This record gives sequence, C-alpha cells and structure tokens, in this order.
Amino acid sequence: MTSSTVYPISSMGGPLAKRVPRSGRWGTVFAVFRRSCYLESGGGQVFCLADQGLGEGPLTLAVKIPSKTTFRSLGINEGCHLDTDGVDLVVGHELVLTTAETVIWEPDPVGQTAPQDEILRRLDVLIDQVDPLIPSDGLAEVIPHTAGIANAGSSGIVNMNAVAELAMPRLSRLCGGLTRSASEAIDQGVAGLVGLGPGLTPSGDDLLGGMLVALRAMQNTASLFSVDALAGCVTKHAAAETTRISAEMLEQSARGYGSAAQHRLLRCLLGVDDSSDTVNAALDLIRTGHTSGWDALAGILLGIYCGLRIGRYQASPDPAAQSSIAFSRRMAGTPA
Amino acid sequence: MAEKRDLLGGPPATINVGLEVFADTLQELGFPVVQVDWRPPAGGDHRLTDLLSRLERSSDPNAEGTN
Amino acid sequence: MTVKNHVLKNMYRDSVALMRLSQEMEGLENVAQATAIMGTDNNKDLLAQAGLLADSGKSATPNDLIVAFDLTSPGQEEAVITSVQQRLMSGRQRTGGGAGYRPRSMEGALQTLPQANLAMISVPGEHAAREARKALDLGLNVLLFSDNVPLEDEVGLKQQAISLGLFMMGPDCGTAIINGVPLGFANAVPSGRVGLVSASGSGLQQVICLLAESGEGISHALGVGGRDLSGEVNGAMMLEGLRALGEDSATEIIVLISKPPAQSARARVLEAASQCGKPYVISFLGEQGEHGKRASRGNVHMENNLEGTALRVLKLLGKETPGWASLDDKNRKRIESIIAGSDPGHRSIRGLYSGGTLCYESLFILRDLGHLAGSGLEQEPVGGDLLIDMGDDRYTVGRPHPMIDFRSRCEALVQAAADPEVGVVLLDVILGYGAHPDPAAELSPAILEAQKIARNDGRRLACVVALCGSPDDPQDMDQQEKTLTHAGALVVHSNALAARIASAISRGGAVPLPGGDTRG
Repeated sequence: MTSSTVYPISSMGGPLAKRVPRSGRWGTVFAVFRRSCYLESGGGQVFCLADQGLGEGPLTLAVKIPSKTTFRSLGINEGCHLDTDGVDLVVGHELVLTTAETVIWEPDPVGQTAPQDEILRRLDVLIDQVDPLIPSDGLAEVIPHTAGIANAGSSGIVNMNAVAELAMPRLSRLCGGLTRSASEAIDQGVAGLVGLGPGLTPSGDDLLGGMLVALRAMQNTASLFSVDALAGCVTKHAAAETTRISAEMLEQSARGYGSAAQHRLLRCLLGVDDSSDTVNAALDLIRTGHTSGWDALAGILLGIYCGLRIGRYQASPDPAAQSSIAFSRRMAGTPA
Repeated sequence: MAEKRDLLGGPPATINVGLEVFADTLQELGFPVVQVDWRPPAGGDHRLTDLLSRLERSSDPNAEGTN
Repeated sequence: MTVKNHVLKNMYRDSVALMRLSQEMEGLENVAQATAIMGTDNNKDLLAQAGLLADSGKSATPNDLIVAFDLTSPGQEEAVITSVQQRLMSGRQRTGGGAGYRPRSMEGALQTLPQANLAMISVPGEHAAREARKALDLGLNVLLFSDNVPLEDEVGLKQQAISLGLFMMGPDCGTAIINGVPLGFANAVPSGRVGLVSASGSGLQQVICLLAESGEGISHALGVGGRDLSGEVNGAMMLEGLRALGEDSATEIIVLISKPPAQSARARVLEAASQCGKPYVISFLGEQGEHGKRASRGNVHMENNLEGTALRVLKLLGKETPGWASLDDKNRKRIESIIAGSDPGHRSIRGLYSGGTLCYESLFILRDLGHLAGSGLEQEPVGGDLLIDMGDDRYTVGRPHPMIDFRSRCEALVQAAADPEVGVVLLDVILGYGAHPDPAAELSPAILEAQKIARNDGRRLACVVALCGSPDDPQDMDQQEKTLTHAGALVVHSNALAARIASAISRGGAVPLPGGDTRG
C-alpha cells in the first residue's frame, strides 16, 4: 500500500520515553505476536510495541489499532526497523505511528498504605476468591501457600505440577533470605527461579517480577536492604539466564516498574482507600498471557507477605546486613 | 438484524466455539469462520462462574444490572 | 523410548502458542511426551528431571526454544520436527487481517466476523448452556454439538431461541448442512430439492447419502438434537425447522427423522405437516403397527426406517429404484458361500456401531425379523445377538468418538472373532467431514485379523459393513469400499440392508426383503 494509515501511539512508558532518539533508527523487530511485537535498540534495550488493549507498561509503546487487526497483517515482521523523525515513528516502510498525542505513562503510586491487619484481610479474601480458578500450569498453584512460605517456609508440599514443586523450596529459601536479610540465601533462591518454567517470560521470572514490584511499592527503611539485594540478584541472573524479553521486564520490575495491571492491583491491596475493585483488578491481571498474569499475581502476594514480615522480623539478622539496617534506621531516626 | 438472523437465506458465517476440526473444515472449503479461543471461565466452580458472569455484566456499560 | 531435542535459535513464540505446540506434539502418533520451552538453565534442569533433555538441548541458550519429545519408536524424529516447524512458521506466512487471530470471546469473534449468523458450540456439557445463551443474546443462531446438557436448559434455550426468531439446533446435534455448508459431521452432497429436519445425526447422514448416491441433492439438513421430540421439549425446534423448510423456496419435499416421539410432540408434528402444502416423509424409526405405514395420509407419508425413507423420497420425486437398495450378484454369491461354509449353531450377530441411530435401526430390524437382539445396555438376551453403540458415553469416557478413532472398534472386532458363538460382525463406517480421513485403512487390519482368528479355529466369520458416505466425500468412497472388500468385508451402502444380510447369514437363509411395502 502506498498511502499509509497513521495510527496514534496512545501512551509510552516513562522509562522508555527517556530513551527515544531524536531521529534516526530506534530499533529492530525481533519477535512478533498477534497484538504486540518486541524490538531491540542499537544499545541493546528491549522494548515493546503493543495494542493499547493489552495495557501500559514501563517499556511499552501502546498503539491504537482496529480490534481485528493483527500485527503481521500490518506488515510487521521480524527484521523490520523502527525509525523516527522526532514526531512520527515508521515501522517497516509504510506503517506510521504518530506521537502527537502520546501520554507518558507512569504508574500511579500506592500512596498512603492501609494498616497491616487490613492488608492481611484483603489478601485472605482475594486468595479465597481466586483459589477455584487457579490453573495447573506455571506457578499459580503456590498462591494458596504464599502466606505460609513467607512466614515459616513451606512445610509439606501438596501435589503440584513439576515447575511448582521445583520452585517451592527455592521460594522458601528466597523468602527466608529476605526476612533475615541474608544475601546468600536470596541469591540461591533467585538463581533457582530465574528462567524457570514455560512461556516466553518464564513463570519464575513473572513471579519474581511481581514480588519486586510489590516490595518496591511498600518499601521502607527496614526492608530496603533486602529489596535492594533481591533486585541486584534478579538483574544479575536475568542478564545471563533468561530470555532477553524477560530480562528487560525484570530490570524494570527491579526498579519498581510493573505493568499497569500490576500497579492497579497493588493500589487495591495496599492503599488506604476503599478496595472494592480488588477482584476486578486481579481478574485483569490474570487474564494476561497464558500463565504470566497468574505468576505475577503469585509474586505480588508473596511480595506483600514478605514485605509485611520484613518490617517486624525479630531474630538477629545476617551480620553483613545488620550494619546496613542500623545505618538506615539511624538515618530515619528510629532506634537501632 | 433481521437479515443476520435468517439462517437459511445464504451460506452461514460461523463462529466456532470448541472443537477446532469443525472450523478447519469450513476454512478449507472457503466458508467464513472464526475460531474462538475458548477457556472455561472458572475451574468448574459454579459459584465462581456466577461471580465472573456478574463481574462481566457489571463492567458492561450496557448491562441492565446484576441479579 | 527415544528422547530428542530440536533447538530453534532466537525463536520467540507466545506462551499460548508454545502450550498448543506441546499439546499438538503429544497428540502425534509416535510421541509419548513433548514440551516446548525456552532454553534457560533452570528449564534444562526441568527437562532433565522429566527425562526429556538430550545433547542438543544441553547447548541451548536462554533465547532459544527447545522442542523436546520422547518417541515411542526411533526414526520418527523427522516427521515430528517437520510438523513442529510447520506449526511454528505458519504464523509468518499469513498476512491479511484476522488470519490466525483467535478472539477469546464470542463478542470478540463478532467484531472479527460481523456478518456471523451462526455459533457452532462444542464445549463441555457443563458450560454449553451458558455459551449457547450468550450466542442467542448476541443474535446468533446456534448449533449445539455438546451433550450432557440438562433437559431444563434445553427447554429454556429453545424457548429463548424461538422468542428471538433464532434456531437452536441441539443440544446433542452433530450434523447440519445449510445452503451447502457442512456443519459438524456432515457429508458433501449436491444441492437439491429435499429438505430434512432430524433428531438424529447418523440417521440424517444415512438418508442424505443414499439420496446423493441416487443423484438427489438437498436444500438444507437441520438438526434439532436427540431430545427434541420428548414430552418436555415437545418438538419445539422440529416445528421451527418444518416451518422454515415449508417457507423455503428451494425445498420441494420435507423429510423428518426421529426415534418414536412422545405423544404430544407427535400430534404437533403431524398437525403441522398436514397443514403444509408440500409432501412430507416422516420417519419415526422403529415404529410398528397403527403408527406404521398405514398412518400415511394425504401429503404425509410415514416410514419407519432410513432406507425406506430415502426410497420413499425418490419415489415421490419420480426416481427409479436405485442400485443400492438391493444385493448385487457378487454380494449374493458371497453370502451364499459364507452360509455354506458355516455351522448353523454358531452364527450369532455382533454389531459394533459408531452411529447410535444406525445401531438402533439395526436392532429393531433384527427384532422385527424375530431375532433376540440386545443392545448391551440391558440384560444379555438368550439368543446372543448383541449390537453395541460404541459412541455411547460409557464407551467414550477418556477416548475420542468412534467416528474419529477406530481403536476401540478394532479391539472389539478382534475380541468378537475369538468368541465361537459369533458368526457375523456388523459395522457401520460413516464418511464425511469431521470423520476419520481413512476408516478403511484403520479397520482392514482388524477385519483380516478377525477372519484369520476364526479360520484358525475352524470357523468362518462374516463381516458386513454399512458404508455410509457420499461420492463427493473427502475420503473417496470408492476407494474405501475397495479396501474394505479386499479385506474380506461385505460392503453395502444401506444400513437396513446390512442388518438384513446379517440376519440371513445368521440363519442360513435368503436375505429378506425390506419389511412392509416400501417398493409398492
């Protein structure tokens, strides 16, 4: 087609917007799906162009296209280049995307958080509600056990699929490491989870991503060390041990950037305001991908349980961590 | 709407929900068909199925309200 | 078991596609286990634990896709890999909007195909009514293939459909043909002037195939589901179908097929038929006595079997009696030779059916001829003739339907051969869209094996096949018949004739004519 249709980009993730080149080549398509595609920039940055119906994300260009149109039918194939002239983006030779009305997307912060008892109550209710829906693929099966894993380590694994069974002790180790601020345990847990499971973003990655986004959202001085340790381990392992799409996702999660659906759910679970939208937000999340949404939900739940626990953990922490925590507390004015 | 409802007026255009072999046949013969990627809405639990149905209706601006 | 890995470098496919790929691979004949997963270290451990990691998979990197499978016999690797690559690459060739796109809901499907006027639903029974209701709400006619739908749901759905001016074909409706478009298990038949409404799938297929073989086509074939003429449903959709065919200009003659109806439903149907100007052939299968032929009146002609129904239609259209209605000389001689070579004390009949109605028809034909024939669902009869509908729920739990998968029937055939009481095996083979691509190839080895078993035991086993298909069906009916005949089967195209032949062999006498005066 010679006359090209122009499609508007409705939003661009904040972290991505910072990296738009002023002109010239931005990236090349390396994976194409029905309603989204992935590109890699010259600098190795992986980002995503997606139908706006799939929701916003930190590295996503959300484009408004007709609902029955697939990306391939628009002429987007592996190897197509994405070029810009500063205002419009051109994919391949003919597909023009305009940024004239693009909104920069940043996640809404959780704001003031609800009291701990209330958060626990909301988690209980949500887990109850989603329990009958839990699929047998991926790591969703750990959801009913997340409180137990975070608080006391797993005891007695019930019948789960192979991926979940393998993941359970690793999750226990990880959560134990988080609550004790034990870097080595955190690292071992993460090493066993990155790249684990089916999917283009393996289940373990989606779970870790959800955990990170949740932990960053409720981060305080007491949890800072553990969360930073987790972030560091995840990005380190992800760089070499998982797909590049997933590695990029985890990089953003490590900084607290999840998808719009994840942030919406976190506001419902943690925010001091009324949480009547929680089930809808959860359903929105679990409808993502095949198991990615479920795995991220498992991670969010686990992350919140851990986050609540790290704040009130009593036993003596790892010596390497202790000085860090003491330092943080001194800075915050609380007794060491 | 009347033309659309008339089943015998012309060759049907089909939405297939379930066994793909039926859509495959129509596609091979060149008849219009679209295959729905159907999943059970709730793992067999009817209480949850109802909950989901109510949620679906309540998020539809044209819905008349839940029952 | 042979474990193979095939590594695709930098292969990105979404999770759903990978899951489907795994499922499809596991469905392949030689594959015991299969999965498609990214080549991360942790996943290689997973594969190793599952016994699916091979050398080539070990060197995969995280951005590579490992397709791992376990073959039941070596040497099949190429076939599996070819099919995997076709599946993975197929998305690339398709351009054009919508190709390969699968909406998650009917609403989404309507956006993709706004001119859609029919929803074909074959989801598990517990979800079927809900999906059907959704379809009706969206203004779609429905073909509901699913069974195990509660009766009260069927009543409600049909009421809803009628109030909306829509068709609800089913539940438990496996066959329909509308304006030449085959829906469900249907045959390729020419278009013509006969319109049919049926409460039976295989019954419908038999009649239209016999008509097609005689050069008569159809306008439409509608299904209403097996319970439509029950007291509760009361013929709701049957009446709608009859009305629509009555108004359809292409339809000159209307055929109705069902098992014997409830009293009130019968009355409604006969009333509607008698008020229509067009000739009706009403086939309540297995009916006798006062409801039999003598009830024919005015434009309404009553029949009680499928072959008779087709013959009546042809007669009303002024066509000659077709060849399929009688035995040709070759078959006649074969029957005589079989009878001559067998011991009269060992000739009971074993029927192994895929079409429930065909089984039912054979049962009543045999009983009508004085056989003590049972269906296996009741007590074993003294006479020992047993006709089994292998498409019934009790035989299909966890297995595909016998129209698609022949393994159960092959096993049962071989077992029957080992029974010294059995002298005749009766089988139906139904061709058409949706059915197995080569039933003759599936059955022939079992037919040969069965006859060999009998021969080794000093017996003769006759195998009679009712081959139900149309000359235009994808399976090449001629070839199917040749293959089955070469394997030793006696092949006819009419199920009723097959049953009569079985009776003759069983008793050592001549093949009876069709009961009643079909050929007047």
